[in-house]
Amino acid sequence: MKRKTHSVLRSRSGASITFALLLFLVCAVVGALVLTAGSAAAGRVSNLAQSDQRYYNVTSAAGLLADELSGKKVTIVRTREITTKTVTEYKVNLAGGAAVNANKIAETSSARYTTKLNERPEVPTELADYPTDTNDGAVFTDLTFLDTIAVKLLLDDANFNTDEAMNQSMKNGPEQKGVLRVLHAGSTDADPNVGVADPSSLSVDCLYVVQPDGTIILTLTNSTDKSGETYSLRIKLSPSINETESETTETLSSNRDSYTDSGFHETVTTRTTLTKTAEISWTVSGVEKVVSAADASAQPVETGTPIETDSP
Amino acid sequence: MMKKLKSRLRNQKGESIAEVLVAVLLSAVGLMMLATMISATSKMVIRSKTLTKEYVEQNNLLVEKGSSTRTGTVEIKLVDPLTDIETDIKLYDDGNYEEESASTAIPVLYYINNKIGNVSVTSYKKGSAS
Repeated sequence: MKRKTHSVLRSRSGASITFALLLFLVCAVVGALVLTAGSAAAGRVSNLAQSDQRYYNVTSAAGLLADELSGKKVTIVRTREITTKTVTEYKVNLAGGAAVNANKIAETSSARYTTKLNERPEVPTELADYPTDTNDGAVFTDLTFLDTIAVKLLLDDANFNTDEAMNQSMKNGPEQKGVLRVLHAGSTDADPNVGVADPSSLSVDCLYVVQPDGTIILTLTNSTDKSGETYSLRIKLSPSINETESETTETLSSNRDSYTDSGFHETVTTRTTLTKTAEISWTVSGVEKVVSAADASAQPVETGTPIETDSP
Repeated sequence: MMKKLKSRLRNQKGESIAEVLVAVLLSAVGLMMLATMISATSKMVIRSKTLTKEYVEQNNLLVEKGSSTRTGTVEIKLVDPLTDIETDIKLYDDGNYEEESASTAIPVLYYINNKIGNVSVTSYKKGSAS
């Protein structure tokens, strides 16, 4: 029996087992391929959600920031009042007619600067002896984000309430950079089961650059998730600047005294007021997807950049 | 020719029943395995299709901001790049200047799509529950 089985097994006359083995192998390979393709399709859907979350994270933050910053106006009014007291000695030739000889014998000036930001109380600086006195560098406190940008474009601690500040234009300020972080406190609703996903995963970093002409470039990037991938979006806010100035001179007083036989002194006090008003507001002028990480370092958006609304 | 045919018909060589049985068994197992795999994959694809459809429908609502499900607050902080310390920042005074800074928290409405497993997609916009 044993010999028979052995001979059957060693028999080379049939090919059924070979074909069966071949069929089994084909079935196994085809099955594995089909299963792998199916799993890959299911996995793609899961990755789609992660990719979409990055996209919605950044676009939501961008929408929020654009909504908060666009169309808001900051007004800065700078005023310089120079009060000049001039004493002139008049010599009258009484004997020979009305010939008058005027001689300025003294002139003193004082200045008062004020800077007013929106509805805030104005910040004044008095200079008793203009222009040799220097001011104490008064500044505003508790500024909002746009106030800070506008103030830095026009003024800074060094030249606040000075002639330099009076001559500065919003169209040519210093470049400013910083980072804003958009953070979520989480859902405030009672039901935790339908709550927002991990609030920290929704945080977005926004690098802002203010160019000398007042253009604000915001580059938003999501916080890195498990995949380590990021999505970046760049928004350009273009400024609309309106700067006006006016100057008025008024005589506050004019007195004559120290009368003598040969003449008198006249003291005239005048005030020259120079008012410069600068208004700035921003509107969203371009949104673009940042393609590479190196590109995310807040390079300026070209003028006329098309607004991109495609999802990733 | 006739001789050759006759010898073939009389030939006793062939496959044993055991060999045939093993071959049939192997083939049956292989075919069953293939059928099961195709069936499982088919179920997987159908489920994936359904999920994707539901997900896309929910995402459309997300884009349209059509169905707010949750409310919350967002804070925008100014970060010191050297120390990574966050400080409160107020984006803008909408009305008159107030001596005391108003809260920096911005109320938002969240729109959530949790149709795919445990991954939820969240979008939000400024606003509060009416």
